[in-house]
Amino acid sequence: MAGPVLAWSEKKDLLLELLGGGSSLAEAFGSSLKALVLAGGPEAASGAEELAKWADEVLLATDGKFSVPDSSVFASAIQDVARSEGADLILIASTRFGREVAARLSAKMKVPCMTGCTSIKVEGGRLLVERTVYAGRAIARQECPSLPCVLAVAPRAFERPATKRNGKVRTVSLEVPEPKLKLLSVKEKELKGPRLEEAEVIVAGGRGVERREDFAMLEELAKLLGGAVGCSRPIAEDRGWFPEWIGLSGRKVKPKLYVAVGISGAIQHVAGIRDSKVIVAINKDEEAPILSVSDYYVVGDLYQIIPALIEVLKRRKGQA
Amino acid sequence: MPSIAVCVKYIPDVEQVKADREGKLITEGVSMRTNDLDKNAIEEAVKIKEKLGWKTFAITIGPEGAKMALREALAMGIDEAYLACDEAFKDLDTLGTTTVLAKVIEKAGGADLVICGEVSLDSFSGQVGPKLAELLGVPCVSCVRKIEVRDGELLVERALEDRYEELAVPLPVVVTVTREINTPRIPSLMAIMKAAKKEIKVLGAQDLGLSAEKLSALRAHGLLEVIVPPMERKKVRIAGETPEEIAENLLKALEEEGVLS
Repeated sequence: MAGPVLAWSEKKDLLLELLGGGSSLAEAFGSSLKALVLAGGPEAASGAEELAKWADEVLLATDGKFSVPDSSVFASAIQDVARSEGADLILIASTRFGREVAARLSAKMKVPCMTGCTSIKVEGGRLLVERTVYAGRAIARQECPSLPCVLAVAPRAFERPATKRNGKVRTVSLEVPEPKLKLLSVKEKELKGPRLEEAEVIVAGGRGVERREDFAMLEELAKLLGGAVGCSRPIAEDRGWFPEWIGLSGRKVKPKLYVAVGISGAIQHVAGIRDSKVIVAINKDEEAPILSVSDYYVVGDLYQIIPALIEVLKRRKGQA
Repeated sequence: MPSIAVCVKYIPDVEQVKADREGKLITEGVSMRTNDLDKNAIEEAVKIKEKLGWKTFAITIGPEGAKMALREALAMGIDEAYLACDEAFKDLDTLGTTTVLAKVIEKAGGADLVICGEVSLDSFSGQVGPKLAELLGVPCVSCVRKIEVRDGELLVERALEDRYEELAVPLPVVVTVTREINTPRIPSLMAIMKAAKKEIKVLGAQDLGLSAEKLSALRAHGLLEVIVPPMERKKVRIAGETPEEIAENLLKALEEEGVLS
């Protein structure tokens, strides 16, 4: 019926997720599922065989130009492949770079594009998409007006694939433009991976925590509660105390217990903790928005409340 | 003299939007404001202007009321402002919006550097910057948290999920900025009063050479509805005479919830 579903991401794990969700979309379309790997070198090309298990075909293009993160180079390559394969649905992982490539690609192709998609379904021949809008406060339901279209899919919106398709890897050579950007240096963040996403209890600190060493207190509380420590965006991006943060633009979490310590509760932060079972807020500001989205809150000085919590927990555990 | 274009958007305050009884988003009666991240974009342009003397202009697309965002940009130190305003611009999709913005930049004499906010908080799509770059045929670097102009090149630091990249890119270029790049200045009352008197150039479809036919093809966003998922929480205040009592009371409540191990 329709043309193939074509999936690309610069991240291998996210490409695998795209194949997971892409599989049922391809089925609904009555079309095939193809993955595209744009590798800057042999190392990036490895793993294409593994991906092929979950796709009808993996198209692999290796070119040094793909080692430079220039969206125009990637968009041009994906456009070439989409055209030659007659792809009707192009799935791209909605990372910051992926979103840039998706937007650029759709402008090149003059086709519709939606980013940050959290759900994509085919119903009655319509392609229905849900995306996060209003900084995480609301969800827009949209119908893709025409095919082909480009959909940038939020990480973890799709499950990893479950049905094997056992395709093959096909090497393709693409004419791509010279990158205009020069990559001077890369500073990798020391990410702790899925630790926060899997934690049952999270104690997170915000701007109310004055010094970096004060996080030791939060660590101790988290340990007593059997959980992990996180922080809000300003702590990570402005103060640079941690490599990652909890929120819509960072890690989305869903613990049984989320304790927000000195976090005011900007919408984007709240959107990242929305699925928590119980939310506790400790804040000295009676007007802090976090209080109105919490189950239990304490208006008070975290420098008094946290040590008291630690003390009581220790006593209960018979350690004090 | 090189010039900088800043794209701004006047949007409903996302903190204030509410849901109706059916859970659909209500924006009527919600106050409007300049998209937060666009203020970072304005600030960055003004900083470069102050350092290097580049010419700056702000552009937006929207109704007459969107002039408020441009007035704010002027008050913060931007030199000129353009409003793309026309019945035919209503309900455009992102490609439509960027098509108009690209024409405005062209009409203003072009730009060596275009700065946008990373996303607008309302539509939250992050597409305008990269699409504009594609239409202008220039490179794009999104999510930048540091900009430096050196020898006709731009040195930027891009913040990605797992790493920071230091990149060099030739002009002209489009960059989108994150909120960490700077702290937008709050203009003085004098600056606001001066900005109120400045001319804002208003451009319609005809001024930009955009036919109704071309624009009608750029209206296909397929929006069905916007819903606000409920966030029902208990909102129980835990009190006590002493920090210890508060701690005891809180832990008791959590125990009852069954979330303590």
